[in-house]
Amino acid sequence: MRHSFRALLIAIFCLMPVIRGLAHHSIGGVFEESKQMVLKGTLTKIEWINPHIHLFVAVTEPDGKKTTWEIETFPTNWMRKAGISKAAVWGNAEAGEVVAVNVNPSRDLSEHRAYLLRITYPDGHFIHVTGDPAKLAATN
Amino acid sequence: MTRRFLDGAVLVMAVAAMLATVTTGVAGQAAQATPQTPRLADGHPDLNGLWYRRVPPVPPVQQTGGSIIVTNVPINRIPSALDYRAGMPPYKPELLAKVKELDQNQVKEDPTLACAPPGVPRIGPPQRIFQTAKDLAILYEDLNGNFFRVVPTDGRPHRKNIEASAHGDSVAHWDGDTLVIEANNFTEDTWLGDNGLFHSDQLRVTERLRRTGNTMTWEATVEDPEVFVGPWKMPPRTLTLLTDVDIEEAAFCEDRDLSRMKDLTHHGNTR
Repeated sequence: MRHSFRALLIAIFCLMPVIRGLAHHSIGGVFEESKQMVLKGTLTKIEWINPHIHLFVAVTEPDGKKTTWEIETFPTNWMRKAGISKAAVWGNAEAGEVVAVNVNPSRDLSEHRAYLLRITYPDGHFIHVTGDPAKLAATN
Repeated sequence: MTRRFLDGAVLVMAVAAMLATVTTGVAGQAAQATPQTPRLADGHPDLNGLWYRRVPPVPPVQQTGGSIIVTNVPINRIPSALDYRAGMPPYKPELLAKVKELDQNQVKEDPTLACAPPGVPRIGPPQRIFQTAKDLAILYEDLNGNFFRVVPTDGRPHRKNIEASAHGDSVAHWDGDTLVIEANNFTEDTWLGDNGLFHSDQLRVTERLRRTGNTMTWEATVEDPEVFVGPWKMPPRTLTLLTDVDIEEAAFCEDRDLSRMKDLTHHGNTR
């Protein structure tokens, strides 16, 4: 997979706690449910594993530093039952497309890990996996 | 890619609509909407198939243009596994403190969080059943892996030459149209639920499966004279037959969160 680092970390928002009900587990022990971030970057890898799928997003932060964020989401069978395939999540990453990813960040930001709320693709379509859609941070 | 994505979403919506119809029939219009229960050549109810315990398929999905939204609110509030509450077994009073302590430290103590087998009955009702005249196989696709049970129905006794396991040793018999599965020979390494519900190796589980049309009721009674003062009858669960999907191989399970937990926030494990 080709890595792309022309992405930009654009914002951190502190918002209302996100409604959550269907995730495999309460993420509060690891992630900051009361905070949101929007990452912009390129998917470099998807690990389609349980109990959580892991997405890897190459991001260029405002200071120019390049980092890879590891983003967790639902288990595989939940995604399948929602009609969301690995290929659908991957999108056109092979061509280096930049996606915007709404996440709850890890409680330890230095880990560069997060929990997925929504991933939005360049043509505007998105996959929203958890949280209240009305309370998402803007991606542009 | 988008097309494939939409096809999947449409499929899920269609299945959800179908199940909503089935559930409405069960709840409200009962008898006339219930199809006949098919039977095998030996006259027993045919339990073959994929029996889905979450209705509609979890998670509910809404389609918006080319996008998909996994909602947090079950469509029409149809009962699902997320609403299932097994309750509290009748522990001996002197053991309640241990249950509480395990519950409070669940993110450190619950074996399933580290991808261990959930065991019976925590793994839940049968998911995929293959049935013959003399036995049946129950397959489970679980977060923690694929598990199976082979259950004789022809009078064979429990095996005495196998090691104890998370899912035990099962035998079954027919009580009229109800299949009664009796399981024993468990390790004490599993829990009965999320909340510190430990057990001993004296655990015995009796499950009753009864098919009516395209639904099946699963009831489980749990006995453990080492830790309970009496039997624990779990609330029954109603399963729905799905004919257009089948069980799949579970993805590899590898936990990457437990070592990063900052506190003891409970870590739900709905099954």
